[in-house]
Amino acid sequence: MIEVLFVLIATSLACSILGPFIVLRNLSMMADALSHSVLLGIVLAFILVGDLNSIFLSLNAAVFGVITVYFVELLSKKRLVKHEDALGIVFPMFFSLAVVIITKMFRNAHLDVDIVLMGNPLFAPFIRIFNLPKSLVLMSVVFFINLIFVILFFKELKISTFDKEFAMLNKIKINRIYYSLMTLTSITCVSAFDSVGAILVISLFVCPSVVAYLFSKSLKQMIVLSLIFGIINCIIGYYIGISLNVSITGVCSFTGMLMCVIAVFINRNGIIYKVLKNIKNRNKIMHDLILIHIFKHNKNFNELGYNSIHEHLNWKKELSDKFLNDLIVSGYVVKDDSLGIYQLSQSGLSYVRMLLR
Amino acid sequence: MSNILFSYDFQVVALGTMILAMSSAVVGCFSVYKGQSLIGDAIGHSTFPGIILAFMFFQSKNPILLTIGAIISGGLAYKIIQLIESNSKIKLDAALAIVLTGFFGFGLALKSYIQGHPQYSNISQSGLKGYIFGVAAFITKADVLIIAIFSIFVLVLVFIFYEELVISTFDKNYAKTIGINNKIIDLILLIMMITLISLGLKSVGAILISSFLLIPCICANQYSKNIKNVLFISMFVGAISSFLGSYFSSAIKGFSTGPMIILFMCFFTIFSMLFGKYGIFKRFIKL
Repeated sequence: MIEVLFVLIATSLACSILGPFIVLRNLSMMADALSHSVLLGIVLAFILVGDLNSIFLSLNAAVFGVITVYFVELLSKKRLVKHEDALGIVFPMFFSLAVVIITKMFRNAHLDVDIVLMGNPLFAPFIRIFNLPKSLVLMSVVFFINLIFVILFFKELKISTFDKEFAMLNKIKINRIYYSLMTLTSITCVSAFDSVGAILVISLFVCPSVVAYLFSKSLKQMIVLSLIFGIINCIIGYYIGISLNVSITGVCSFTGMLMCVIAVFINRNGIIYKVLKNIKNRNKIMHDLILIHIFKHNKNFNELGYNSIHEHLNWKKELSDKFLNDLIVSGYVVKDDSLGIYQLSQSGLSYVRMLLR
Repeated sequence: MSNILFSYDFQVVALGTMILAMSSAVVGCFSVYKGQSLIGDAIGHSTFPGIILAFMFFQSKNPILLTIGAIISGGLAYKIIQLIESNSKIKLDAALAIVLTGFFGFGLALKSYIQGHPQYSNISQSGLKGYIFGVAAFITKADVLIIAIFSIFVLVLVFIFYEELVISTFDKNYAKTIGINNKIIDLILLIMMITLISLGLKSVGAILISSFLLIPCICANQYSKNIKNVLFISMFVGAISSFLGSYFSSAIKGFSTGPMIILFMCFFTIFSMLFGKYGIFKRFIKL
């Protein structure tokens, strides 16, 4: 059973090494479209070859992925439609054509639309080469191809991702880089189909990279983190899936989304941090306000009395007591019991002087 | 030929999909002009867990209950997309991909959970799978009635808020200055979109339903730049594609209806891109 996990991890590595470039170039939905339309490539090749395990099938499917990308670019370049609308018309067309052909021609063949979407990693260990699961070998090979591509063309990828004009000035062939990236994405999608299905492939492309994006400061860091988060995602998904006896691919994609949502909350610029910062700022303003009030009305019984200060600050009594308590604890304010008023301490006095300077 | 035209099954399927396509085309135009075309795709996928959860909760396949589940789940997905997009540096398309796969994966996990689970074994689950790809052949008269009621509701909404929708879609700032509440208009559009998507799940399926919103509008764009004309043309394209799609899927055994309709829509769209008023060939002639 543990082999299933290895297949998942190999797939996640292959996907999440390209993921950062896909996320940074805003190609996430393109990857989605691509993963749907390679189905047509598989179907058409199956009609020609008639063998589901042929390598020709995968190659043709990968080619179809690239054709999708080319078609989308063509439509948006001719200014017939906007880029995202072009995406929204090309992949439904290929996908529905594939579904129609499958339901019409291969009712009995082992080519099920469900499997394409969901995959079934539990079957992966049964097909073996070299005494290893075939998908494991395949995904490892794809991972190494992707890795070599990223290492060899790291500079070109980086520059053309972040600054297209600069890349062109440096004579980097941005189109060639773009289509190479999409070709590899397409190959990765096709290879991962058997074991994990289209939905999880997209999830593995996007989710680990997005989480890494939120926590990293450089591209290299992002790629490394993306690989790590991909592995974590798969391990969590695998164990939940096995223990609840539900679809592992489904749980993995769901965990991917949860990781992203959690990351949105807890990262350095995340929601929780913003809320905490707001509370901290508000408290600081309240404290400073009290200190300045005490400084301005030095020894004024009316303004600074234990029971009257909140009226002059125009706050509720509990609120002013709470903040005054904080200030007494931090040593800026002392209670003068002989007069029944609040007084600034020495450190409080110097702090207010610094504030008002 | 006339055999099929007068068969009861064909009439029900054709009527249901035509009404659905027409109302989706109208709402779709506004969402396309707002730049939200791919959000429909994400919401379409995200309705799937809602259907399974509604099934688990109520233990029935009553279409109204399942539709309500789908609507809630789609709305939640939209909320999460918004949360991710507005609170971090993540771009819209990545947020869409995250939510799309996450929700759909959750749906798949739930579906595999109820499969063979003893608690749900006494109710047939056979129809649930159809919600992924849509099985128009299963559409009943009750379904058509639901589609018709909701579609009329949506069209009436569009009719009432027509001015506001148009102004708010094309010029937000102007809309604000003449006192239109953009947020409420956005909300109305969103509710209409999610409702139509949920309605179409049974006949077209979670994966392809967003095309019903998007493609007719793109096709109509090749003929006119006037919003009223675009709305009517896209309604027409949706209706005629649905009719032809249902006809061919009834005539030739084994063709699934939803994909067939979308193929016709795509065919019309590509034809229009080539030969339409603003198509490629007209451009050559002008040059």
